[in-house]
Parts: sequence; structure tokens; C-alpha cells
Amino acid sequence: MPSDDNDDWDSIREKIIGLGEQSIRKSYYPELQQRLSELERFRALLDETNDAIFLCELPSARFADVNHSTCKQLGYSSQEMKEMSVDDIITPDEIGKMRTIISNLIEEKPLQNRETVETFLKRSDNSKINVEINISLVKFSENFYIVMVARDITERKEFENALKSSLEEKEVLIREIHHRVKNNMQIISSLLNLQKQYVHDEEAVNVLLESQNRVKSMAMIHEKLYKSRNFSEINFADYIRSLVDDFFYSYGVDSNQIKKNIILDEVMFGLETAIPCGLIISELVTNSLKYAFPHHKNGELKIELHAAAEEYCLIISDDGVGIPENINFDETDTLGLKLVNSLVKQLEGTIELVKYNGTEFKILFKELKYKERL
Amino acid sequence: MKSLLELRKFVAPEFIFGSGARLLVGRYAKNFGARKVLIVTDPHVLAVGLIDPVLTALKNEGISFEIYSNIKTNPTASQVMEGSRVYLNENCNFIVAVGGGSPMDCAKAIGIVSSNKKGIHEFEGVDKVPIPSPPLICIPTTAGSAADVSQFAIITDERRKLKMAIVSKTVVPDVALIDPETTLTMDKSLTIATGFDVLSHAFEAYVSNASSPITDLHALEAISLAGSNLIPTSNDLNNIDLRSKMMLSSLNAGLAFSNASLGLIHAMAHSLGGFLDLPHGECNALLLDHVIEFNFEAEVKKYKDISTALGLNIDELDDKAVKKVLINKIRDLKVESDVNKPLKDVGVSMGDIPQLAHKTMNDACIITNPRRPTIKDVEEIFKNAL
Repeated sequence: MPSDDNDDWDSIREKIIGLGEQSIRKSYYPELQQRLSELERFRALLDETNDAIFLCELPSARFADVNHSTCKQLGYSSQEMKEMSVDDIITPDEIGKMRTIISNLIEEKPLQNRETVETFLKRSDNSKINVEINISLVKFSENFYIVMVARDITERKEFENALKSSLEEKEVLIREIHHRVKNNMQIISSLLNLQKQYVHDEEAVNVLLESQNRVKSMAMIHEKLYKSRNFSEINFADYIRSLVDDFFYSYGVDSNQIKKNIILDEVMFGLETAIPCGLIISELVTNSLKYAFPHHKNGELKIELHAAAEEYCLIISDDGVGIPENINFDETDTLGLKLVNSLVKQLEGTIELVKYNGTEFKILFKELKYKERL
Repeated sequence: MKSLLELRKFVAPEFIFGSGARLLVGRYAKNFGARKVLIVTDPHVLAVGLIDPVLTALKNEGISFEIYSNIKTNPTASQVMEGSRVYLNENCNFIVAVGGGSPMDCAKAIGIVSSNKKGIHEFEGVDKVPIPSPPLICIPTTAGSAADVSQFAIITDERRKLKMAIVSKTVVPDVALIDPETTLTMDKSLTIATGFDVLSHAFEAYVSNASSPITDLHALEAISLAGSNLIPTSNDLNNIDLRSKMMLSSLNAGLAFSNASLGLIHAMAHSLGGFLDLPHGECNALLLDHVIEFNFEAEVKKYKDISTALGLNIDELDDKAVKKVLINKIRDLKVESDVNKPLKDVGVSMGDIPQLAHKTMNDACIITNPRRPTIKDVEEIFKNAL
């Protein structure tokens, strides 16, 4: 209520007459101006983004509005753009695909629907831009529209292609290295073979043959690697079969005399595991072939590889004469068994020898992860 | 007698009347969200410094402005288009008109041309404006045109040599700041010409076939005020009380004619003014008594009210005598004001009359004349005034 203060009465009387600071007639114009500036600010945001943004009427697919980037990238004025439709800016061979996407969006109707498509836009000078377009359906006062946000992916594509070709180059390089390593090992193997023909001492021949087989077992891994898909893993079951066949051949074993019994789970090993594992098999199989079945004794050589929850179990056994009692496996002087011991250590695994009804070596190990070398 | 039940509408802008009203322009512009104002005025208003307080008021509110003042008596279509280019190029969002009928009508036209982005010719006639003008504040500096409250804008088409009447609620200003002090700078002849404009507005609104009890109130009050103060004001130009009464008379006449519209005097005056580029008030003065002569019988009762409002004693008189007394009163006023001239004195010849009559018949103001004239009638009235 007015107080007795005369000034107060005067000022309220002024306001009743309509002379107060706030005494303007009801008008939406000031509010409208403010909303307009908000819209202008928002418009500036859209215009300043690098993406081309289109609003298309449906079903004509004519452009109702586009941002500044669109005009700049496509080389049309915004006035020209509003006379055009989606078909005018898509390269001819891509129009069919675009139409299908848009008509699918319209048919399905849910507003959350979005589609992303890679395509080519056509500039006013007929040159092309490789873009990724995000297309979505929106609704303003009962009318459906399509919003398309196109991002120029020319640079990204160039980068991707560069990366791809660089990767291909490296793959070629790695394959080549494995190939050469294998070739060099094969040369060593051939040299050993040659030398073998010039020595007459049986002991020396044996040493050379064993060395040759060791080299071969490694060469075979490199061969399998460069023939593999990703140069980092080989199918180890395949490898064992080839290796054993090769030994039977190089020792001239009659497969009727010594039967092969090979039971293998299909496993993939990397180079880190495959090399020591291959050498172990090479030593133990050689041992069996050489010593288990003297005087053409008949028997069976059994190789098993089982995979169970990250641990592998390799068993190489025979039903031959068995290792002489006087040989202590842990403190052996034979190069072969020494080698096996140190290879098992390298694999961080364990080895167990069972001397019952022949010989059985049971090796438990895990796949070695590649260690970064400084 | 018209029925009270006939539909009538009364539109008026928000207006403030009184000393210093024009100084409120800054506050109003700010409250309306003005960012940049186009001020439409004329060289005379600039020269006498009437614009300065307006500029100061805008500056005090931190509102920037651009002035367009290339306007002469009877604003032309090309001036409107030029003003609109300034409005758009300067990115204005608000218009303030300071001056007489010419700058105010020009400002209204600039407004609708700018908002509709079309030529001014598109809007000639009644209700031809689709989009309203941006907000417009009028500060009248003459007591005559009342363009500050009206739905009329009169623009001269130089090519066709006629005045286009644009009649639309969209050209009613948003605010009129009516400050009698601004009229102190008018010289005697302008004071008289604008005074006769007020009288003819009020006369025509009162007898218009679109009048209503509300417009009648304003029209009669305007006649009474102008009738008794026109001559005294023209003889005492610096008397602010007399100036205020003439300004109030103008406002009343404006409220009346904006809603009841006008009649034959204005239709003929527009034709004449467009043809000879004469001041509008003077054209009205030359034709006033001649049109009353033609119209009197159609609205005898109303012309009697007008006579009474002019202070004439008509109690004992029959209709014919009243007509004579009223016309004599008008002629006396014209003589006293030195505007009792025949049309040939301002350059009209007999050969011009068919063309003038033809244009009169096409003017929107003729629609609401109490008596519907034929082209022959109009030619006859022009001849009588010759």
C-alpha cells in the first residue's frame, strides 16, 4: 500500500498514468528480439562448424536450410542451395544408395533413427568430396525433415590408405625376412648334409645329422611363419606332423617297423614358444628313433600335445628298450638331453621322465609371451 | 441514422501527450529491444535542432542510430526505397520518426518496405500490407497530420504524379510521443496549413460513413479546439498554451480519422497534391468549403453538430441557412488565414480537371465519404473551386 510519503504517492501516480520505467504496453517484441538473438547465436554456431549441415524437406528432399560450411564446401550460395535437392549434390553412382537410406528412414519413422553412410558429394564445379554423412529424421510441427551432417573424410581416408600401405609394406618385409632366415638355415642344413658325405666315422655322421635336423626343425618354423596369415603364429600341430615325417625320412625309418601315433590338439604358437618346443621335439624324437628300437625292433612312437586352460602338455613316448638305468636325466652329458633340459627351462616349464614300458617324457609349459628386448 | 449495433473498431497507438514527451524516446526504444535505430526526419527538423534531444536520449540509453533525412514535403516512393536501403544496410531493427506528416509517413513506408522486402507500390490501397513494420515511434513536430496515431501513410508516386494512400493497421505506430513544445518552431503559414489539415480531418471523420460514437467524440472535440484556436495561434506563434491546444486538437482529429477514415476532401487533396506537389494542409484548405457544399445534405444533422462545435448559433435556422452559415464560417477562417484562394491561383487549369477527378475517384479516402460522388460530381467540385 502507498505510504504517507508524498514522493511515493507521486511515483505510483506516475506509474498509474503509465510514465514509469516499466510502464510499457504489453508487447512481445522485446522478448522476440531476445529469442531472435539467441537464434542468431545458435545459427552462428552451426555456421562456424566445419561439418556441412543440411535440413531437407520431405518427401521432396529439397534443402530447407543449410549452414555456411555447406555453401563454402560445395561452392553454392545459400540461395542456390535452397533451390536444390539431395539428388543435386550426390554423385550419380551414389544416388540410388542415398534414396534407399532416406526412404528406409521415412518408412520406419521412429525419430531416433540414424544412419551413417560414406559417400561422395558433388561440388558446383563437378569435383567430388569424400564424406561420411550422418542422416536422421526430425519432426517440426507435424512435418518430417531429414537432417544430414556431412564430414569431409578425404584426409582421414588418405591417412587410412597410407597406414594400410605402410602395413602391407611391413608384412612383405617380415615375410621376406622369415623366408631368408629359412633359406639360410636350409643352406646350413645342406652344408651339413654335404659334409656328412665326406666323413666316414659313424659318430661324426650322427653328429652332423643331428645338427642338420636341429637346423631343419628351426627352418621349418620360419617357413610355416611366412606362409601364415599374420606372421606371428603357426599351427603347431601341422608343424609337428611335418617335422616327424621329415625325421622318419632323414633317418630312413621303416614306418612298418616304428609306428607313428600322433594325437594333437590344434594349437597356435608364436615364435617364442615354437622354436624351443620344436627343438625339444626334434631331440626327443631323434633319441627314440636312434635308440629305442635297436636291431629293427618293432614298436610305436607316440607324440601327444594337449591344450588345457592356458597350459600345454607335450608327451613324447615310445615302447622301446628304455633309457639305460645308468643315465641320469638331470645330470646327463649327452648334448641332446642337455639341450632338452635347457629348452624346458627357457619355456619356463617342467619335464618328467617315466621309465615304464619304454620311455615317456612329459613336458608341461605355458605359451611364452613375446618379451620386448632392449 | 446508423445503428449503434453496427460493428466498429478503434485502434490507437500507445501515446504520451505533454511537455517533454519526446525525451522518453530513449527509454521506449530500450524497452522495445532497439539495437540500432533508423531516425527518419527532414532537413528542416535537423536545421532547427529539434532532433538533438532525441539523439541525446538514445545515446544515454546506449542505443546507436542512423539518420535518414533526404525527405521533402510530400515524400516520394524513391525516397522510401532509399530510406529502406539505409535501414537494411545499417542492420537497423527500430524506427523513430521525428517531424511532420512527411517524415512520419515516409518512416511508416520505410518500415513496411523493409519488413516485407517489396516495393512500396505493392501496398497501395486498404489492408495490402502482409507483414507489420518494425517497431516505430513517432514524435510529431507539427499539429496537423496526426500520422503519429493514424493507420494512413501517403506516399507520392512521381511517375504517375499521384499520392498513394496506404491504409493498414500495420502502419499504426507503436508509440507516439506528442510534445507540444516541438510545434513552437512552425512559422505562420505552416501553422495555418496544418491547422486546416486538423479541421478537415475532423470534419471528414465526423461525417464519414465509417464513424462511430467514439470517433465522433474525438472529431467534435478536435473541431471545437481547432475552430477557436487556429487563428489565435497563428497570431501568437510562441504561445505554448495555444500550441498545446492545437496539438491536442490534432491528436483528437487523428484518433477520429484513423478509425473513421476520411472523405472527398482528402481524396481530392491527394490528387491535387500529387499533381502539383502542393503542401497537403493548403490543398485541404482550398477544397474544404466546396466539399461541404456537396456533402451537406447527406449528413445535415452532423454538419449542424459541426456548426455548433465551431461556436455558431444555429438554433433558429433552417437546414439551408445552417449550410450557408457554416460555409461562410469556413470562408471567414480562410480569409483570416490568407488561404482563401481559387485553385487557378496555385496552377490548376480547366484542362487538368478530368485527370484530377479521375485520380480522386481511385483514392481510398473517397470510399467513406457520406455521399457517393460520380466522376462528374468531382469534376464539378473542382470547377467550383477553380
